[in-house]
Amino acid sequence: MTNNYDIVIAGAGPAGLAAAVEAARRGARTLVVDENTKPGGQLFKQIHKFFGSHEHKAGVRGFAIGEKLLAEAAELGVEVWLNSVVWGLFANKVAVVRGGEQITLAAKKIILATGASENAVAFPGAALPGVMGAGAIQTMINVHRVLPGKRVVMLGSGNVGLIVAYQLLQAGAEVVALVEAASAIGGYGVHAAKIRRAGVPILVGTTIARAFGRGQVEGVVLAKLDESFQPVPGGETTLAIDTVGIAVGLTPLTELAWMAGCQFVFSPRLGGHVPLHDADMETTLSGVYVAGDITGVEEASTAMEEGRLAGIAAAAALGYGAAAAEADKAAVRSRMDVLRSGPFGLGRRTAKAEILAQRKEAASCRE
Amino acid sequence: MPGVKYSGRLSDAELAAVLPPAERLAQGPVAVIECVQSIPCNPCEKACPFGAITVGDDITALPALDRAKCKGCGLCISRCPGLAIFVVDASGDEATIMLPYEYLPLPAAGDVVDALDRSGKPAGTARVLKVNTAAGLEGTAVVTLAVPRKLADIVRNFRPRGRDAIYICRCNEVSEAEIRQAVREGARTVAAVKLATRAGMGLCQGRTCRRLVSRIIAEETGQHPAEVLPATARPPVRTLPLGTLAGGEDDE
Amino acid sequence: MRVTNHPVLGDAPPGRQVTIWLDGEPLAAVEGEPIAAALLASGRRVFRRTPRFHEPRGVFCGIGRCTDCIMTVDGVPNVRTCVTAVRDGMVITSNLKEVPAGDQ
Repeated sequence: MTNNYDIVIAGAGPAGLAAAVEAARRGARTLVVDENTKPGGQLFKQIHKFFGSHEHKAGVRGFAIGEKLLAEAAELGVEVWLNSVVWGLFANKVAVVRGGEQITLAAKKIILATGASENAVAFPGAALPGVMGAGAIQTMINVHRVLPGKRVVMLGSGNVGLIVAYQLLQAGAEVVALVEAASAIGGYGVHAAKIRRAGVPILVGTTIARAFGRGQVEGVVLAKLDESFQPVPGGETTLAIDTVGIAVGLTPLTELAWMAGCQFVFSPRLGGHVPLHDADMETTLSGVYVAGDITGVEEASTAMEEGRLAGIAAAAALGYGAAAAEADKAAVRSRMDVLRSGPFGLGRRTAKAEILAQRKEAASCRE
Repeated sequence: MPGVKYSGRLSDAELAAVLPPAERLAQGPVAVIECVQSIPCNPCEKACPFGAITVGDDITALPALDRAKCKGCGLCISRCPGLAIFVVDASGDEATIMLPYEYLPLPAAGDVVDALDRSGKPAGTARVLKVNTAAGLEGTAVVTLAVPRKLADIVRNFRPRGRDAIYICRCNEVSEAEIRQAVREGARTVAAVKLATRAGMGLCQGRTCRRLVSRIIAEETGQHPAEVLPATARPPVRTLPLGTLAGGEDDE
Repeated sequence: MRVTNHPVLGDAPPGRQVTIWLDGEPLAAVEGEPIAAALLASGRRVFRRTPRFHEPRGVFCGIGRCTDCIMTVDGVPNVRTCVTAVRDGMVITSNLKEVPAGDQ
């Protein structure tokens, strides 16, 4: 009996927690399962102020948003299992290993909010100690308060690379350069401007040709690239560094959705294969919802809105808060549209619309 | 390739769109919103108690600043998640710049610091007038700097002295920032910089820094280093105790 | 190196100091932090050597996915040190000394 829940959510990050808060607020018995020692996903390492408007908590730092979400979840009686791994989905059963013990949960609705993982990159020396994912560096400096190195080169100029470079400076490291293979900076100009005026060179059209060092990384060779991303002869520079940050994008963590049998679509703009879902975040499997980066890599603010949408929809499908559900969902959707507006949101906006369209098509094929 | 998209530094065209005209700068403090990309964001609009900033319903619109309404209070500075808002006052003999600052150590009022431009290059010397760390700023300190008037549109960051100062004249401890400032204030020769900053007037008599100073002058003025550093020398060409020479031949 | 003070996060919370044992040597750690954080804080960056080419490995992904950072913890092999919290008295062994003879 105790292992029967209305809604089981995999992942206690921004999307999972937001989904849990909305579901529990409406009266659903909700459990969130997460393999980490702490809840909050990546929110607690995000120490910068968020963009958006007041309704999106703009101007509030990520970790403060995380604290608020956790407090809300606790107040609403959301159960959170930490150090617990969801290792499989079988129809409406969720297989969990908690503290070495195998537990099978029965769930009326399942929300997958498993997030994304950082992409690796291949160059000679990329596996040397000291070459780290930018997210791993961010967790070390902002959550565990440990500087993994003193002289850093960052690869990748998306918002992750720009923000982590800035936060390395704040933590007292030296960022020797940020390199970007493309001819333009990928992330927001305001993030780039912050590290530029602190004296960090941003080298576009440049990549890391190789990293070297005895036992651990001691330097990198940078290579200038032409328009077709081929190294320019003689365009090599050597930098003495002790740490390399890799910020070359993320891939949605979709294994659970794959094994459950959800239909997928390949969307390069969203980071790879993502499960098809409808406007309520429900996948092609009835009762299985998705939210956050598993549906395509975006930002924590969008992940929270998707979580809210899934939480409201899953609860309403069980009869909780059903009367107001349409109005509630509409409010979330309009906030979400705003986060995807403008030229930076264009790619994601188009890709997301494509997913909804394909989901409709998939549904009509089945009927 | 200029522009924030390529270098992280605003291009001249982008700057022209956000910098206040000289007449407005001369009238007193005014916000400079260096936000040139349509990102969905609008906290600056609500931050302004005078209604001087408008973003509108479409929050990807660039903030429009009504400079007549702006009082230069600086409340918007810490509210911008992109740290892209500054307040500049060029109405006096020297200019003041209020800027967001999220590093340690925080300076104290009265400190002399190296003023940095948008690419982090030393642009001159600044005096810290005020450091605001009120709780409402949510961890973004607002620092007010005094800088030479002609640097009002240039300085956007600073670096505490002592820790990271780059010394050009190591005898008299004259920093790169001080040399650059002297050049921007009109010094065009190594001798002129020497008079303005005392760089090259120490024990080694400029033997160590002369080349570096000339290179900075060349960089700042666009001249070739060979034009700046004249191939002249005066005796003594090595460091000698003055008495050695003052004695003269007659005393022997 | 530990980040003791920070412009946004303030001073680091003191935390309970514990001792872990790394290849027989005592190492100071903060209770609850991942083993990997404690090792990086002490400047230790090589966590193990690979079985085939004996190449050094350290922390890469930091989220328990890549398994670069695995070590033997309290006798259990292949423990992901980036997602395993330290406990007082924990015994950690790297395999750095296990390089077969003639293969240096």
